[in-house]
Amino acid sequence: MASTSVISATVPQLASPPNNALAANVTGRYNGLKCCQLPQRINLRSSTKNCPSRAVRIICQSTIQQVQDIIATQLSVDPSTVQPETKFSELGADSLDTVEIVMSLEEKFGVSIGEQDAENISSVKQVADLIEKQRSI
Amino acid sequence: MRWLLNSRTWSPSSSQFSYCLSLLPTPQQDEIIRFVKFEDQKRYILSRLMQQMLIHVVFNIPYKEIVISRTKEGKPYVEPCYLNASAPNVNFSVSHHGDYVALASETLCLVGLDIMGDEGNDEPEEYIKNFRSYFTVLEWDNINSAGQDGRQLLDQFHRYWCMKESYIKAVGIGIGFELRRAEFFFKDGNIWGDSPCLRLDGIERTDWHFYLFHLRDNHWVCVSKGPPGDAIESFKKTLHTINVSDVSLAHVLKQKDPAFTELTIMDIIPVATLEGQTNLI
Repeated sequence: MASTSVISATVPQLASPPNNALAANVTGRYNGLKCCQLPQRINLRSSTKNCPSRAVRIICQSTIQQVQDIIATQLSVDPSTVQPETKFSELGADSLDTVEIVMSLEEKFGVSIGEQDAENISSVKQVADLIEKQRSI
Repeated sequence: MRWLLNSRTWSPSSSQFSYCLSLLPTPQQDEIIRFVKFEDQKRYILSRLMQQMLIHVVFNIPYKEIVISRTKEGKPYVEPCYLNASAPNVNFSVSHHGDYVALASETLCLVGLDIMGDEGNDEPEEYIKNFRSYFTVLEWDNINSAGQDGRQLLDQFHRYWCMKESYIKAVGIGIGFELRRAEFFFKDGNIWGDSPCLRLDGIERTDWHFYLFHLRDNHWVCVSKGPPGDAIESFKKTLHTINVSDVSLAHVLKQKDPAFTELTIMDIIPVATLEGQTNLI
């Protein structure tokens, strides 16, 4: 019998976000004819544009960190396994997981990710870059 | 093959769990620690053991020599060197939801499988609205024709979602597919039917067959079967025979889909590897 470390059965339980936390008033995100009705958010665009570049880099770093945390929570995986280069497929995410992750991120960051962009998401860094792109528009 | 396993039937001790984990290749053993919930770790092991057992049974390869790889999109496949003329396109699809882990396999046509079930939503109507853009007008109307009944709304949503997933998984896409391109409908208009049809990019695909059925505890399962030529490139090159004759394919596709066999952990571990472990439940 191969020697393996005993996996403890008492692993810490991560709380999953309740699904009804998804914004009920986000409509027609991917339909160009409808407008997105987003909840009121702090306008980060104006605050980052006037900041010194070092502060902007710090804000960008925390975006990917927040993205990693949201993805880890959604998929119930150890956050340390969610790295920028990690692919969704490696984390065992299927289409439904990916859609729910994108929605959670849109809700958290107050952005709208277009359908075409959403379909092409395959890694954590891609999602974070998309969010940064939306926030700088 | 059509296999189903209820993970609740397996309540391993630490040493039983470790033993089953040790049956997997080392990289997979390392992967398991990323799951923080024990139930997820259990399901991961069960899913992998089912896949290994399938390959062991179909090809009679010594257990420790079994290699199951994944395409860059994440589609698992058996090494092409094992395929031959009598089992040219052995391919399989696994899915899990809640307590259920399932596997479907075929030897000639592509097969896809998905299970969907409840995720503890208190407000089904609000939850489902978030997914509006992934359905065509026809599908959305069908889902909402369930009316105010939250249970029926969720069932319709789960049915449609697992139809789409079963197609995506059969061709090996993974994620990154515009779900609206695959439209599902029922020829007789009965939205609770068990044999939906596919319209892909507006064109009806009579060479794809789908089977829907209800599993206990509000789960829905969809099995898809289709032509090997529809596999995406990275998956297609793992198959032996892409150009299957229409006659052979039609024969396979039209067969009534077999019922799933319910297994326990003892069924997915070869006796020869048990090494004195008589009961792993």
